[in-house]
Amino acid sequence: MSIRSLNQAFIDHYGIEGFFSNEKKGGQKLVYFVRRGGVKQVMKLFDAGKDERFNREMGIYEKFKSIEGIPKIYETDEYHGETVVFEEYIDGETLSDIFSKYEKDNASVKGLLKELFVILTPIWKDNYVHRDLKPENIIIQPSNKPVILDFGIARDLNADSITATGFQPHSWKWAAPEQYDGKKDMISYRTDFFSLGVIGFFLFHQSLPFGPTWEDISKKFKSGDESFLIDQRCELNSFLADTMRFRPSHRPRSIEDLINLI
Amino acid sequence: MEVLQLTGHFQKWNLDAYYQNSIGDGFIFCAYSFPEGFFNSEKINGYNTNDILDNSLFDLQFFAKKEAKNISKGKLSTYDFHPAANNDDGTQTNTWIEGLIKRGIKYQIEMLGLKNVIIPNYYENNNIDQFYGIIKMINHWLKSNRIDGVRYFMTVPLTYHTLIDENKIDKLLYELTDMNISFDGYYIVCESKPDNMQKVSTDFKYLINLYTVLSVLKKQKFVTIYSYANWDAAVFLSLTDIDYISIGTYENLRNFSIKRFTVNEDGGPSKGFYFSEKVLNFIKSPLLDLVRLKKGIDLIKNENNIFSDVILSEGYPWSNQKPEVHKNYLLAVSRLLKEIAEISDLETRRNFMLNKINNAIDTYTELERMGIYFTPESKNYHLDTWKSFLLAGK
Repeated sequence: MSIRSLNQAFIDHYGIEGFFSNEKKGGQKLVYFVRRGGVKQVMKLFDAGKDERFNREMGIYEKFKSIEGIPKIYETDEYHGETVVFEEYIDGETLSDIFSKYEKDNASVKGLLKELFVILTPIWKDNYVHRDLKPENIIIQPSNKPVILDFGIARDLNADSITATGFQPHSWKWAAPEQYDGKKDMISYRTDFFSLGVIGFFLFHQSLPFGPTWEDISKKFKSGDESFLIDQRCELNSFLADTMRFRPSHRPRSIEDLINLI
Repeated sequence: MEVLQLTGHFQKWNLDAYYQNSIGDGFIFCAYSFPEGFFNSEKINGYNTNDILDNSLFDLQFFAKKEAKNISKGKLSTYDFHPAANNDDGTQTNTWIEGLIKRGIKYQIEMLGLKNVIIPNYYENNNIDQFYGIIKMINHWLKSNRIDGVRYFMTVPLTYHTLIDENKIDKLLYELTDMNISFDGYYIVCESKPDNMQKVSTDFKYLINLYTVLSVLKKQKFVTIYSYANWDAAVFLSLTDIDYISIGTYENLRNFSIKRFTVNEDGGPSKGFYFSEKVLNFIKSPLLDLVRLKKGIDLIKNENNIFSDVILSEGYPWSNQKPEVHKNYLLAVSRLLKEIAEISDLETRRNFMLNKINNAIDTYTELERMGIYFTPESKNYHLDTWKSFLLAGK
C-alpha cells in the first residue's frame, strides 16, 4: 500500500497522534502537519525518494542546525522505498499570506530584511546560496522573527553543480537575471541579494519591480533596462537600486555592504 | 588619484621629471627594461635608490606566460622565476606558473622592499576559466601568506579580444568582485588596438567595457591601477574615480600590446609628436612648421609648460630621442588628470571634460578655418566619439 494514503501501519510506525492542518503539495513532495509525542511537526514525503538534491538539502539543514531561523530536522527515514522527513513545525504565518501588512511601512520592511540577513549571513559566508528566497518560503512567527524554509534548491558553491548549464531552478517572480539566463557559473550569494531586493520592493509597494508576468520580467532583463518606479515614501532606494542590478558584479560585494544599504 | 610614470628605458627622463619637475607621484618600473640586480646600487642616475623604490611599483610583466620564451630582447629572462626564463617542456605539472607568481611576489617584498606589490599574471584569451582558476589559486594562497603592511594588486591583462566581449567582461568582473577575494586591488592592463594611423581607440565597445571594469572595481572598493594608460585615461577618469593612472614616454608604455611580449618587434623611426592639451591629441612634429607658417601655434600651445615652450621654439631640432619631447606629454597629461581628479562631484567632472572636448573640437575648426589640415593621426578622429561616450550616460 502506498504511504500516500497514510495507512494505519504507517501512522503507528511513526507514532503520529493526529493532524492539525491540511496537507500541501510542494515541488517534489507532499507536506503533512502532524502531532508526535505531543509536538507539532511537519512531515514531508518525497516522491522521488532520496536523490542528490534531497541529500544536499538535508546536509544543509544539518550543517546549519545551530542557526535560529531555519527549521530543525528531527528524523529522516525510508518507508517502503520512499523518503519520510520530520521537521520542526514553525508556528506563524507565511509571508505570502500577510504581505499586505508591510505596505508602505519602511520600518517593518527594513526590520524584516535585517532579520533575514542575520539568518543568511553564516550560510553565505560558508559559500552556500539559497536560490529560492520568496515570501512563500518565509514564515513570520508570532514574535515577528522570520524563519526561512525550503533549502531544496540551495547550492553549495564549493560542490559540483547538480543542474546542467542552461537551466537554473528558480521561482520566476523573485529570481535574478542569471537564473533566467541559466548561467550557473554566475550563481552566488549575490543571486540571493537580488531576490531580497525584489522581496523588499514587493513588500513596500505590493507589486513586483520589473512587471507582473514572466514575459514582462524576462523582457526587462533582456533589455538591460534596470529602471523601476519607486514610491517617493520608500526609504529603501539605495538598497533596491544596488541589490537589483542585473549584473552580479554590480551588486553589493560583501554582506557588510548589503547591511549598510538598509 | 595618483599619477605614476610607467618607466621603461631612458629612466633618467622619468627620474628627472619626478625629482626636478614634480611630474607624477611615483613610478612603475617595467622588468622588460631593468635586469635583475638593477636596484642593487645605492643611486640611480644620481637619485637615491631607496627613495625611488619607496615611491615605486614593479611590473614583472608575466603577460605572455609560455610565449615569453620567444622574446630575445629585453631583460625579462634575467629573472630566474620569470616565464621567459622557464621552459614549460611538458615535464613540469601545470602549476609551474603558480610557483613563479609566488616567487615574483616574494622577490618584490624581500629583494626590493616594496610595500605595494603587483602580482604578476598572464593573459588568457581562449581558456578564460584557467585565468579565473589562477586568480582564485593565488587569492587562496594569499589569505594565509599575506604580510602586514603590504598591499597586493592582482594583474588583470585584458587583450582587445577579451575587452570588447561584454559577456567575458561580465564574467570576469563577477569573479574579481567575489566576497572571498582578498587582493587590495587590481593592476589593469588593456590592449586598446587603435585603428591604423590612430593613437587611441575610438571603439565604443572598448570605451564602455573598460569604463565598466574601472568603475565596478572601484565601486566594489578595490584599489584600481590603470596601467599602460594613454591620454584617453582622462575620459575614463571623468566618469569614475581611479586610484592610480600611469603616464609613459614612448608609445609602447601608453599602448599595451601583448605582441610585444610574445614576438620581437621594433618600433619604427619617428621624429616625434607634439602633445597638445588644446586639441587633446598628438600633432606630428613636421606639421608644426605648417601651423607656424599659418600663425596657429598659439592655438595648440600648452600653457605653463616649459618643455612645450622649448620644443615649439622655431628651429627646434625635433627628435623622438629628446627628453623634452616626452616631458611635454608627461607634464601636460599629468596636469590634466590631476585637474579632473580634483573635482569630487562626478557630474561636474564629466561636464568639465565635455567642456575640454568641445574646446578642442572648436580649436580644430579654427585651425581648418586658417587652412591647417592635419594628417590622419593628428586629425580629430577621436573627440566626437569621446563626446558621444560621455553624453551616453547622461
